[in-house]
Amino acid sequence: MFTWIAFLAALVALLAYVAAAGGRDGALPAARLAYRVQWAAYIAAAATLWHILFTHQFRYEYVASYSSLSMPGRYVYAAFWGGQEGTFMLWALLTCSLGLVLMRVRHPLIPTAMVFLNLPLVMLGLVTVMRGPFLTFAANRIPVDGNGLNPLLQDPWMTIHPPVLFTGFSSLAIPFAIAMAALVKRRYDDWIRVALPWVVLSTGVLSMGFIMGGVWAYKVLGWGGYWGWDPVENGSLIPWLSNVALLHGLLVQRVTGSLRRTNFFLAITSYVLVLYASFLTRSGVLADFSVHSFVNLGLNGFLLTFLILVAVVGYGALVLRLRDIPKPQEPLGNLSRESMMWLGQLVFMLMCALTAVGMSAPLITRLFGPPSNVQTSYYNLVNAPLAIAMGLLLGISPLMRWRKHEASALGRAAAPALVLALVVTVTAVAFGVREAIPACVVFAASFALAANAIVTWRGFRAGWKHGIAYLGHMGVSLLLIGVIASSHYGNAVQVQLPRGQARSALGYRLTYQGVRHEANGKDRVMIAVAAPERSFEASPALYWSDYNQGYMKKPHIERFLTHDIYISPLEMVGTDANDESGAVWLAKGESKKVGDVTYTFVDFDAQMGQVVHVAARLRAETGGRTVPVRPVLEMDLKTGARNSIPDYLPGGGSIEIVRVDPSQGRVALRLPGAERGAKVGDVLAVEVSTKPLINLVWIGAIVMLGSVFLSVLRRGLDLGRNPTARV
Amino acid sequence: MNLKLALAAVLLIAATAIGVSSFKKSVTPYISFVEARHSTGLVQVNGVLADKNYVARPEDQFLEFSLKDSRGEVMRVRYRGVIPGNFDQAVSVVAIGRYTSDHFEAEQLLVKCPSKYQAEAEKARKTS
Repeated sequence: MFTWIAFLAALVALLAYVAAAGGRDGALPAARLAYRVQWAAYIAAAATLWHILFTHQFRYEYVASYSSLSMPGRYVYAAFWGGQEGTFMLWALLTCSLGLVLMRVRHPLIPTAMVFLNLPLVMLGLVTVMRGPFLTFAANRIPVDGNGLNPLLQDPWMTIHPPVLFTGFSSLAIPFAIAMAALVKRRYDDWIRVALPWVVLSTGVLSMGFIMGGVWAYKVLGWGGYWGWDPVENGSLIPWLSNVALLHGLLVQRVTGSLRRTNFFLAITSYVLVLYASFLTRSGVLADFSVHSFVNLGLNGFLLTFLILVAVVGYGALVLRLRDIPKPQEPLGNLSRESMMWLGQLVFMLMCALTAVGMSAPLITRLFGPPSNVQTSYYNLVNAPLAIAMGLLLGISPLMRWRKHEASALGRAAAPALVLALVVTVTAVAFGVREAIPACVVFAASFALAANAIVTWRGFRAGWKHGIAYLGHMGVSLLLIGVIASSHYGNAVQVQLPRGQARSALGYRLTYQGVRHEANGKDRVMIAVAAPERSFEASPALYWSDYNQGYMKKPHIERFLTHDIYISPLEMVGTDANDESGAVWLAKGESKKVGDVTYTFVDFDAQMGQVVHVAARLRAETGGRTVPVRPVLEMDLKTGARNSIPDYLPGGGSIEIVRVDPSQGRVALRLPGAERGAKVGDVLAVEVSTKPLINLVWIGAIVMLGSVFLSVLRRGLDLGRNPTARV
Repeated sequence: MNLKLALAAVLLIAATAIGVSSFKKSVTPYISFVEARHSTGLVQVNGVLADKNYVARPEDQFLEFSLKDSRGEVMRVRYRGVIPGNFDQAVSVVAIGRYTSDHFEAEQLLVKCPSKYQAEAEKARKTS
C-alpha cells in the first residue's frame, strides 16, 4: 500500500518538477509536497517491514525467508536487506532521503536536477510495487517459523555494510541529476560547485562500504583475503572508480575551466555503471559464476529497460549538447598538475573498463561460444600495472603547479620523494619482493606516499583545508603497499592436525586439542600454537549449519604489529572406517536426535546371497521436513569384504552403516554432526598463513576515509559560505 | 609532440595490450574432455563421477577419480589439496586445471551436491 503511494507520489513529483523546471514556479510547492509524500511513504513502508519482521509475521514470504524466531534482535533488523526485494526498497528509500537534502539546496539548477532524480525514483518505485517485500503466503501455507538469515551474514559488520553501500550507490544519482540539469539548462560551469560535495560524499560512503565488507570477509569468511574480485565487489568498484575520476575532473574544471565534457561523461557514466552492475548481479546472468548466488526475480527485462533508459537519456543529452559546450580558453598545460590529473582520470577509467570487461566475461564470451569466466588472477594482472601508473601520477601531481611547471623545478621538488621511494623499494627487495611488477608498485606507492607527505605537511601549515586531500593520497599509498605485502608475500600451508599431537607449519607448532562446544551451537576447535612471537590459543569456529547445509568456518586471527597469523579451519578428516566409537546405535522404531536431525530407524531390507546387502530404512527429520534415508552395507560372505554405501541428507551430510546386529534388530550408524562427540583419532585440517603488513591496509583505509569525510565537510562549508552558490 | 597526449597514448595502448593478453590467459572456458586433452592452458571441465572407485588419501591430500562428461567421455582427474568434505556425494564436479600427458591435473575443484529440496536450497544460497 505504502509502496503504491510512494510510486504515485514519485510520478506526481516528476511531472510537477518538469513543470517547475520549465519555468512554472507555481508548480514548485506541489512538487516539493509530492516529493515529501513519497519520502514519508517509504519511511512508512520501511517501518511496516521492520514491524512485520520483529513481530515474526511469517505469512509474509519475505519475513519467512529471511528471519526466524530464534534470531537475535539485532539481526532481525538487518533482515530488512536480507533479500533482493528489501534491498530495492532500501535503495529507493535512501535515494529519496538524499533527494530531500538536495531539494533544500538553493540553486537555479535544483528543480531540473530534481526531475532527473525522480526519474530513477519512479523506476525504483515501480520495482517495489512489482516485487515488494510484502507478498503473502496462501492462508494454508503459512510456515510456523522462518528460514532465518544466513549465519555468514549474522555479523555486526554485515548488519551495516549493505545499507552503507546502498547509500553510496544512491548518492551517485545526485551528481548524475545535477549534471543532467546543467546539460538541459546549458549551465556548463556552475553545476560543479553544487555537485562536488556530493561526489566527495559518494567516494567516502562507498569506500566505507568496501572497508566494512573487507573487514568482514577477512574476519569471517576465512579464505584469507579482504577483496575477492567477486562480481558483486567489482560491481561496486567500477562506479567508485568512475566517481573518483569525476572528483578529480571537477577539481581541474574548477581551477582551469577545462574538462567540461569529460566531467559530464563521468557523472553520467558513474550512475549508468551502478545500474549496469546491479543488472548484472541481480539478473541471474552470472548465477553460475558468482559465489553470491542470485535468484532471478523476473525483473531482468525491467532492470535492462531501466539501465537503457538512463543511459539513453544521459548520453543522449550529452551528445546533443556536445557542440554547445564551450572549449576551454586555454588548453591543458603540457607539464602541469591538470595534465597529470587528466592522465590520472584516464588510469582510473582504464581500471574501470578492464574490471568491467572481466566481470562481463560470461556475457562477452557468450557471443563467441560457451559462456566462460575469467580467473580472478585476471584482475590482478590488469590492475597491477595500472596501479604503478596511478602511484607515479599520485606522487607527481601534487608536486606540480596548476597550468605550467618548469621541468627543472619539478626535478628539485620530486628528488626527496624519489630518494625515499628508492630506499623503501630497496628495503622491500631485501625482504623478498623480487618480482618486477610488485617491486614497481611498491616504488610507485612509496613515491606517492613521500610526495604527499611533503605536500600534506606544507598544506597543514597553511590551514587544515589545504592538507586533507593529500592526506587521503597518503592513505591510498599505504593501502597499496599493504595490499602488495599481505596478498602477495604471505606464506600459506595446509596442515593436518591429529588430536593431541603437535605439528609444525611455517615455523609454528600447532596442537589440536579438541572441540569447545558453545551455547549458540557455533562450536570452536581449540588449537594451541607455539610461535616465536608468542604462544597463544587459537579458537577458530567450525560448526554445522542447517541453513547452509554445510560446515561454517570462521578463522582465528592472531594480530601482531607487522603481520597477522591467520588460522583457517578446513575440515575434519581422517575418520577411521572401522572406528565404532563415533557411531550411534538405533533399535527398530527408536528415534535419536544427533545434531539438529532426528533419526528414526524403521526396518532392515536384507537381500541374501553370496554377497549380503543390508539396507537400513531410516527417516531423518530436520527443520520440520522428513526425508527417507537408506544407507546400505554389502558384505561378501566368502572374502569377508565389507562395502558401505552411504546415503545423504538433503544438501549434505552422509549417513553410513557401521555395524548391523540382526539378532537384536539394531544398527550402528555414523551420522553427520556425531563427530562432535569425543572421538579418538580425529584429525583437523587447517590452513595456516601469514599476512605481512596487513595493518597497513587498515591504517591506509582509515586515513583515506578520514580525509574524504573531512573533505566533505570542507566542500560543504565552501558551498555554504560562497554567496554565488545561493541565488 | 605533446607530452601528455603521448603518455596517454602509451597508457591506452599498454592497458589494451595487457587487458587482451590477460583476458586470453585467464579466461577458463567450459570445454569437453576431447578439447581438454588438446588444450595447453588452464581450462574448466565439468562432469559426473564415472564410478565410485576413487582414490582418496586425505592424509596425503591426494585425490584421483574418473570424470564423465555429457558426451560419455571418461577422463582421469588428479587433485592435490584438501579433499572437499562432500566429495563422495557429488552429483557433478567442476575441475579447473590443465591436461598433462595422461590425466587432468586439477588446481581447483567445485563440487555440486544433490539436493532433494532444490527450491529451498536455491533460496538458501541466496545471500545479500
